[in-house]
This record gives sequence, structure tokens and C-alpha cells, in this order.
Amino acid sequence: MKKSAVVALAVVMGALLVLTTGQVFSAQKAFNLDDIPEIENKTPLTLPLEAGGEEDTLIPFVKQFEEKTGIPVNTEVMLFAVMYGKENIELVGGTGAYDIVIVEASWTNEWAPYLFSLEELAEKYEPEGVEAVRRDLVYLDAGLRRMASTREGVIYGWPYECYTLMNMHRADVFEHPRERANFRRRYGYELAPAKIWDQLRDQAEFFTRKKGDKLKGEVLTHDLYGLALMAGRFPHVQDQIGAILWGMGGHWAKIVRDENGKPLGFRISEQDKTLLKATFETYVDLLQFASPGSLNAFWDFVMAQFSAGNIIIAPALYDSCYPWMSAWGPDVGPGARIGGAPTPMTQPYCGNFHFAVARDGKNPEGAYWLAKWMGSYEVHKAWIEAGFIPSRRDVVEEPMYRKPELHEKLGWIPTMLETWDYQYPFVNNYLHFNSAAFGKIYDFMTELCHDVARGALTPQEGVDEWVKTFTELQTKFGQLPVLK
Amino acid sequence: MLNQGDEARIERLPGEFRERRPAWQVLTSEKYIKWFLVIPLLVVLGVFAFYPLFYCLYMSFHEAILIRPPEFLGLDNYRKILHNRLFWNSVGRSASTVVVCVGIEITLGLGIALFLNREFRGQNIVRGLCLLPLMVSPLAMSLMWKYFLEPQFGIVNVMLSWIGFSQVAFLSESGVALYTIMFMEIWKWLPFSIFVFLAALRGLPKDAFEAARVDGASPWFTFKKLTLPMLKPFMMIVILLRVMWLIRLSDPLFGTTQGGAGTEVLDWYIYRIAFIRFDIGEGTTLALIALLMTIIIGAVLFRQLIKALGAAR
Repeated sequence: MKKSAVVALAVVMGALLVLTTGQVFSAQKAFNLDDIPEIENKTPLTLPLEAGGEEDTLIPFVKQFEEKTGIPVNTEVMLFAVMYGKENIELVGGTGAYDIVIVEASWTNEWAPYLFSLEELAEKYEPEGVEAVRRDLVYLDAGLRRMASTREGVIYGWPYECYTLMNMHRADVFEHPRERANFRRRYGYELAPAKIWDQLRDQAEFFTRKKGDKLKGEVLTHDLYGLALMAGRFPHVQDQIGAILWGMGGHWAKIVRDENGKPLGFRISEQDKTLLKATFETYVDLLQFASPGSLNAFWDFVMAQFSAGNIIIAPALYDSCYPWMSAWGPDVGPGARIGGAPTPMTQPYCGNFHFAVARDGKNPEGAYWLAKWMGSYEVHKAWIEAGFIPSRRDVVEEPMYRKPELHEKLGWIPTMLETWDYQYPFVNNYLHFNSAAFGKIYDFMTELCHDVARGALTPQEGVDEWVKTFTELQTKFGQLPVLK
Repeated sequence: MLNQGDEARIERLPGEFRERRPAWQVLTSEKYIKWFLVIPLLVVLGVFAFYPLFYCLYMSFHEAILIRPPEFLGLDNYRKILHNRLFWNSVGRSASTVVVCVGIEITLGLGIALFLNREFRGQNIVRGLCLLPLMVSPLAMSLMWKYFLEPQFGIVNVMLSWIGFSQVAFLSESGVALYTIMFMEIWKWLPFSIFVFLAALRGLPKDAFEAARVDGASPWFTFKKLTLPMLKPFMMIVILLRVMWLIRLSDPLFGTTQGGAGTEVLDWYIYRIAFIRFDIGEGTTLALIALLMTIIIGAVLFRQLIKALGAAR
């Protein structure tokens, strides 16, 4: 009797949960322009967009918003390289130049004083109040939600684009019997996407071959390299190095909290220093198998090297590159196929951009609804179909995107979800999502990681430089101290 | 109408005897008109040059990071910068860029100008083509060279492979990248020195050369004793301008290395500290140090230019 009561209760609870989620799910899917109430403030909005194709996808949705609300929207397209500087100066100066800003996840803590939180806006403008926002945010990945929030857990924007580093490789080469047998003979284990960085090194060494050697039994007409790295002085080198460090269990600097979870400061432990040195050594070691040019490279170079058949593995590259990497060049030969797997140790950078409403904007109400519209299911669906990576799990998990024939364009989805799920418990402790000085630290990391990669600093010098300059920058620009 | 002597006498009279003239007449009088005309320039300079300059100076004594009010630091920013290896590295790179680029541009520019100074078929087409690099926008130029010099697909490496050379990672090898940047800069600015020298050569007095020819002077002697001294003022103009422009070099880095591979020159370093890190105190200090260097070098070169002009008279 007791047992059946428990079962019945469980069934009822389950059904309620399914029904509730179902309602929310359909409500969320149904959110569209018609749900936006009449907005009296018709002051035009200004919205920055990143150059490089996304504006082509988003602008039609901006136009729809204009037609629905009668609020004109000016879009300003800019390169990512100048985005932080441009937006930062307008926000800090309180110029009101932008009603909405694009915020990279790691800038959230820094810009929080200049932005409205979503709940603050929802309280004012949502007919259903903050509950409406909380319900809508359920469809974002939990890790991405945390990244778009401050260290206190306040969320400031609607994530619309994300980028997760993943391991992309030539699946046809990895599956080739002769290559597999040769690899097994040489290294004593099966050839498969690397789970740890040592395996990646073996694979990089194995596939680095000279012109005239063979690949899949065919004579190579050019030199072949195991991998390509984004080791140039661009804001990507530290993402790759960070993937190794986090995977080893280290931190650039770890946030220290009291027993109530209140952040107290950052600390770089002796173990972190040791692991950072090992990380630098690993990265420098991998560079010997990287295609020439890696020291001035970012993602476009790695993509081109992969598509041209000059490399076999892109070990830590943004998933947003995946859909473009199967445009095989004439030297690749028939049967080339891309494969995706998590980066070794599955702890790479999973950043995202979110649209947040600026406090100095002239029309926060209009900005709120435009940002929400940009985060809607409909826009994200268009986003994924245009070849970009959305932040909404309900879009990414749609069965229609899992068809085998879509592998070349959407084969990144399972890997990304696996990485998101694996990463989630760690995200809250990462420096990137806790420091209010990260925009500045990011620039220093670029300089440091590149200098170590090119040999201008030894790994030990790199660690010493990191500890010294991180402490300086965090103390000067951040709000939390660096603890001894 | 008063003449100049009357005006001076009136000036000396006690106030109550002076003729009262409308302000417009006073301002347009010979005594004041020159100052009146210079006012717009002074206003523009004051607003756009002196005010920012003094504000920079003020900021350089402060910790100014935008997110809180500036805090007085005294000379800390200067002390910090002068002890910073990145600053001195960037100064060293800027200095070598100036020396190499100016040296090559002067030598090559003069050589090509001498060649173009002759009459030959299609001379106007050749001269026009020589001017092309100057017309390319700096960012487009840096992107163009980035793709030309790409290690595997770039046309330069493809051509090198045709003649049996191995690939060169022009923009990623630390020992090579700075020279590649210098090459790009020379490629863009060589036409400037070519055309300055060409114009100068065209304007040289013919009679002196005719006399040297009649006296049987060799072409090398004529070049050394006549052409070169007469060109010296033009050479100094090219050196002066190019040195000042090269100290402010940053365009070729934008589309290529972004300061990586050992190419961070002084101007890029300033840009990064001031507009990426937004450390305005340190950034303005760096900018002022760079300005001071430019003024000192510029003053030395300007003196040489004046000397050269005097000698050429």
C-alpha cells in the first residue's frame, strides 16, 4: 500500500513536471514579436553587430522588430578585434551611444555596473514580471547562463552566439586500416581522438610527414603536419593554452569564496604554477608538429590548413568553424571526412556573446524587447541554419539537426553538448567569469601565451610573468584582491 | 585716413584726447590684423593640440583607468615605464625600423629617381605604376601582404617553391617578421622618396651640369660633387618626414601580426596599453615619451635641414 502510494505520487509528480515543462517549452517556442507589448518610447535604438556574416542573418530579424514596434534600429557592424575597446569606452564614458551592447562572457563582471540586469528590466517591462525571464532562461545551457552572469549570479544578457573549443580531425584518416595499424604498432594503443594531451602529441608526431611519404596509402604531394595551432598574438592563443591548463586540473587563478559562497579574492596556488608551467611546455612541444605559420595564426589559418589537407588534427578549434571546414581543397583526395570530439580532457573555453541593455541607453524598454527577440527560439533557429552556433539548448537539441546527412554542417552538436555538460561544474570557479578586470587580463594573456609559444619567454619565465602581471592588473582594475 | 606716424602719435596721447574708433577698425588696423587673422589657428591648435597635450601631461601623473577618478601618482608612471622591458623592446624595434626603412628608401628611392629622370619610351606609364603602392589603403595593404606571404598558399612562397626554396614563415618567425613589416613599409613608401627625388632632379640647374660635362667630369664625379649636394635638402625632408612617420608606425601590424612574433613597435605598444587595456595614465605617459623622442629627433633633423638649405643657396 505504502509502496503503491509512493509510485502513484511519483507518477503524478512526473506527469506534472512533463506538463509544466511542456507548457513552458511551447510557450517559449511560441514567443514571437506578437508577444511584445506596445512600447510608447519610440526613441531609435543602436545595436552593434559583429562583422563576418552574422549581420546578414540578424538584420532581417531587426527589421521585423522595427516593423512590429515602430522603433527604428541603427545597426553598427564592427570587427571583434575592436569591439571591446569601442564598447568599453562608450559604456564607461556613459555616452549613450549603444542601447544594447554585445558582451563576451568574460567581460560581464567588468561591465555589470553599466548594464541593466535582465530581472531588473523584466520587473519593469514584462507583463508577467521576473518570472517570465526566469522561465525563458531555462532554455539556455546552464553553463552558458552562468557565463553570462556576474560572480554573484546576476544575469545581464540574452546569449545568442557561443563558441566551444573542440577537437576536429580527419575522420577518414583516423578510420583508415593502414593508418590505424601503423599507429598501433608504433605507440601500442588504438588510434582514436585524443582523450589526453599526451595522446594528442603522439598523433601529431605520427601524422607529421614529408612530401613523398604516404597517407592512406597515397603518396603525399606536399608536407603534412599533425596539427595547426592558433599561436599568433590574437585573442585565441590563451583559449588553447587554457584548455590544456583546465584539463590538467589547474587554474589561471582560482576564486576563493567564504563558507557562504561570497567571493573573497583570487589565489594562484603552487600547484597552479606547476600546472601552468607544464601547460606551456605541452603547448611549445606540440608546436614542433604544427604547420608553419601557426605562430601568426588564429582560427582562419587553422581552418584553411585543415580544408587544404595540410593537417590532420585541429585539436582545439571553435565549433563555429566546423561547418566551414569541409570545403576540401583539390589536394585532399576523395573520401575526406571531418570528425569531431571533445578537446583532450574536455575542459576548453566555452564562451558566448550576449546582448545586454546599457544603462545609459535612451530606450531601455525597446532595447529589452529587441534583446529578448534576438534570444528567441525563432532567431536562434535561423542562426543555426545560417551556420552559426546558438546558445539555446532547445534549438541545438532539435532532432531535425541530428540527421546523418547534416554531419558536415552540424556534426559539432554532440561534441558541444558533451563539453557543455562536462564543463558546467567547473565554470563557476574560472577566473574568466569572476574577474572584473578580465578585458585587460585577456590582452595580457594574449601577449604572454604568444611570447611563450614563440620562445621569447621560457615556460618558467611565462609563469613568473603571469603571476606578476596578473597581480598588477587584477589589483589595479579588478574589484577583488589577489590573495597570498 | 590716418597714416602710420599719426597712429603712433595718437597712441602716445593721454586717453581723453585719443580718437575713439570702432572695434572693427582697431582689429583690422595694421597693428592688430596679423593677430586677428591668426586667432582661428590658435583656437584650433588650442582645442585640438594644446588642450589634449596638457591633459595628457596631467593624466601621466595619475593612475587613470576610467572606472574611478584619477589618483595622483607623481612620477610613478614614468618610473614604471622606464623600467619596463616591453617598452624598451618596442623602442628598439622602432629604432631599427627607422634606420632600415629610411636607409633603404633613400638609397633605393634616389637610384630609381635617377633612372626615371631619363627620357625613355613609356616613361609616364612606369612613373604612374611606381605611384600605385602609395594609393593602397594601409589596412588593405597589410591584409594583402598577409595573404601574399602566407606560408603555404601565399603567392610568394609558391613562387619560392618553384625555384626550389623551402617555405618561409615570413610573419610568424620572430627573427623574420619585423623585417617583413619593414619590407611592407618600404614597399608602400618608396614611391614617396622616388617622387620627391625625381621632382628635385628635374628642378636642378642645368648649366652647372653642362659646365661639368664640358670640363670632362665623370658621371660619378658629377653625381658626388653636384647632384648629391644639391639634393641634400630634399633628402633631409624625406628623412625628417619618414622618421616622424615611422616612429608612429602601426598600420602594417593591424592586418598581419598585431604586434606578435617580435614586431611590437612603440606605437602599437602605446595603442595596446591606452586603448585595449584602457590604462590611460600609463598610455598617456608612453605617448608623451614617444612625443618627446619625436621632437628631439625631429629638432636634430630639422637643424640639419636648415643647414642643408643654407648650403644649397
